[in-house]
Amino acid sequence: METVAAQRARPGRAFDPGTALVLVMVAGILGLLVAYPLSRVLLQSFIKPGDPTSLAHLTLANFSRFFTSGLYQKALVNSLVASGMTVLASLVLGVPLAYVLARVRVPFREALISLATLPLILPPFVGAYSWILLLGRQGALTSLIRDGLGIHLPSIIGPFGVIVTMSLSYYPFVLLPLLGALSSADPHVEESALTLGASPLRRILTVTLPLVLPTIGAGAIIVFMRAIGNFGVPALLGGEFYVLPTLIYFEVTGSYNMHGAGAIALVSTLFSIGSLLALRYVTGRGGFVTITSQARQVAQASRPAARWLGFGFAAFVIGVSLLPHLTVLLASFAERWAGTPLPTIYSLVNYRKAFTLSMDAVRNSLVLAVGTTAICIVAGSLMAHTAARKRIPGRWLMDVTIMLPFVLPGIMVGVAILSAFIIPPFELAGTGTILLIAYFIRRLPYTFRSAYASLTQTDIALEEASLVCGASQGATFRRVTLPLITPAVAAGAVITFATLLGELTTTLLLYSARWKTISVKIFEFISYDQTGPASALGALLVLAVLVTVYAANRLSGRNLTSALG
Amino acid sequence: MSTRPVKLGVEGVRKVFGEGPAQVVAADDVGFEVSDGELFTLLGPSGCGKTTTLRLVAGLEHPDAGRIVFEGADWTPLPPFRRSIGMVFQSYALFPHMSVFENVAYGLRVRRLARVEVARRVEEALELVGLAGTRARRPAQLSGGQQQRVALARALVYHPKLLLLDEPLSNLDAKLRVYMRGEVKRIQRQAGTCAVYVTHDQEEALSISDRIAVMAAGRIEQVGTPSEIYERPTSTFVADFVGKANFLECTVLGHDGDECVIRCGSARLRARTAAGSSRIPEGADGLLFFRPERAAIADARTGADGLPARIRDAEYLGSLVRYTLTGEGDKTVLADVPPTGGIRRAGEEVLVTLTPEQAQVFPKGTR
Repeated sequence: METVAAQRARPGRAFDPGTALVLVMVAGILGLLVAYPLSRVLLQSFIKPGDPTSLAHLTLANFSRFFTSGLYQKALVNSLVASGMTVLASLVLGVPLAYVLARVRVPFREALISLATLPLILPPFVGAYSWILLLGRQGALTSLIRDGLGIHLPSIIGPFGVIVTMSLSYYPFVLLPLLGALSSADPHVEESALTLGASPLRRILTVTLPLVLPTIGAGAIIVFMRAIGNFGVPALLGGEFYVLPTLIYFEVTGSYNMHGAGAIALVSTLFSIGSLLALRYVTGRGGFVTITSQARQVAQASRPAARWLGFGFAAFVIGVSLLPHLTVLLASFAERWAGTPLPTIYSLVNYRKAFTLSMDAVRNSLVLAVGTTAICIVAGSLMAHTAARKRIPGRWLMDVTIMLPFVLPGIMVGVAILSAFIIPPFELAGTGTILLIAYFIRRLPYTFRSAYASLTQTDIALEEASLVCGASQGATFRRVTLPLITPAVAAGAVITFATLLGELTTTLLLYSARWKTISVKIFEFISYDQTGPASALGALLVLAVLVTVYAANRLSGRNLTSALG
Repeated sequence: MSTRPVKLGVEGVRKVFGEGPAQVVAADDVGFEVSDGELFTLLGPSGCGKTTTLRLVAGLEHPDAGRIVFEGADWTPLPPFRRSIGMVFQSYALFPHMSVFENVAYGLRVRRLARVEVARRVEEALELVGLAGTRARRPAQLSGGQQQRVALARALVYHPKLLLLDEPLSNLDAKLRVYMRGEVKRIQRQAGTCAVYVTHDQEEALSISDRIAVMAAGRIEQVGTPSEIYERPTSTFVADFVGKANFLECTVLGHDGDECVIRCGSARLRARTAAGSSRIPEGADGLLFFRPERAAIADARTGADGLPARIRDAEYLGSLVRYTLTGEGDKTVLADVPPTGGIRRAGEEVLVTLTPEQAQVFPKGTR
């Protein structure tokens, strides 16, 4: 039945007017908004600043600084070290936690798992600066840990802070897929290891872990990709510790050297693409599919000691990962909080300040997030329908172009959009449109991929049945296709909206005085040491994201964060 | 059938999938006619082009050559929703987000019928398929057989001129399949719609059809009534695909009216030339075909005209005994014999005897 559906997955004639129209639109949008900016930044990175942009002036001068400039070299090494350490830390946190949640009947398991997904949707930079509140020189826990426990932690400003924050934000990429793999593994395979005389530890090392190694590997690669492209965390916590994304920002805003920025972005992108190829290799081999005869659950340890020990461990790790965002909440109500574990004076003064200073930013963020989400819903579903249901030439090209801005570091996309749309014929610098464009191409994959996945899982015969019953193409899309893919598209839209509210990386390159967003405002507050209003805005942002996702989960009756990753 | 007016005409239809070396000719010069009220079956192994042919009739695929004509009107350029058809899919394709009532009402609603009329016709259709009490349920809450009935009701409710059924019973268990094929036939008769039915199950095809087209590799091998297809196949492919068949090499010795005399190993037998084959010249090689249940078994000592063979295995199946025999040249021969004269034992030397009616000879080299 499934094979029949798969064989006939693309019916219809190669071209009908509707498809042709959508195709022209898709080609126009993707060509103008993705291919043009990216090829432009690619070209520019091979041309010296000041030279005209033409093929005759190609040079590797911009890249030579990776050999001559200490700053460039350090940023490259720092990026690799920080990302590598983040991967290690994510594995150390994610793998044992996944094992515990999968194999121990932990109390409040579902709630813990839901909480564990939160770091994926909360903006990491909001968490980043709350580490300053906690562990900075004046931090709430600094003296407690130093004097109370006698532990001298490295300064939170610098590599330590960057790695800690990114690890706590990204370890769910290891945890969640692994949890799935460990929960659904065939118990018989492990039982047969036991009957063959293996001790439990030996079983874990020789059977359980090797079976899920591809899953762990894939998670680790995703963490690496995210970490090497992250801008917000090193921007706030890096200090003198430059990494590639902050170096790009420095080149753009400091010396307005788009050519140099392009060259760095390209090097950074090479790592992302390398990671992506590695990911395809790891997941492409499909891991180890064990043949399961029936749906028997994996055995879970259920002794009270094991259960509560597991709970303690899970609650600790997840709690620490959410501690920064909770701190922001607390700090938002703190009028005075310096050097003590808890604030000494509480008030709403931060909110008052934040509101008087950033009403425009709140409005801008909402306008941009709502606008982009709406465009993504329409464009994503239409493109997904075309990709999934029509025989079209160059479909793979469409896939790649849509996914490219998703895979590339945000700062690279920002640089590309900036260099393409500040010169004629598109002079969009400082407008809301340029932000909208950047948001759109970076987030389109969410709705596109959810809709596409949902379409490929929907039997094509349903649409054919509708046609045969006498409904036209349009009526079929409206009455059958759309209702069936709506939950998936809605899931993609919620994630789009929630993650756009706090988008920092591309915004910081493209905003203007007129189009400051919440994230820019928070960034500014922090730069001027106004941690109070920054916390108030950060708390509002975190709450808005949580409320959106929670409400959408309740409405749809499922976990929408599954549309991530 | 010939007295009824022709409704559907499929004329020289061709459909190619893919390009270059991956090209597959799914339907190659396919042509047939379906008369009013007739149930016409496309039968063949998977990949023979039967489903493609059905989808061409439905308008879900567009032919590369040929025409689909219905009641004299050319349907070829029409999209599915402009043809008056009802279709039952192999997977049923019930809309999961709609209730049983809404599923059945779908074709009426897109035709903008009045609400009262929709309700009346849906009830009528559900009554016809015996599902009156399930209108509010969702497809997922129904059993396979019930889903099958909803799919039928949905396809018939707007009185289409042509009903198309794509392996509608293949997802049911064996017992229900036999029951439902009777139901499908009853419902089709009652609705009076002419129908094209696709299946790979020869027993189903024989039991349900007015006429059958056997397909292989994109082409129609033979069109005929179930008994014509079974009793007088025109090719060894049809003989082999529909029912069980024995094939033995032989030589034609001479002709005697309708019958011919052949030599098969050491035996001389009287046989008939297979349907559709021209007279085989004397001395030419041929292929003797007979059905296991049309053979009889006699003691070797009787010296009757028959094929000498030794019993290798005897299976008692209740209504018959299935003998597997080793004939001359180590050829395997099957014979299904009523268990009335006892069961012979393995190793026994016997003669497999045939009446000239039951022994058919294909010219050598035909498929």
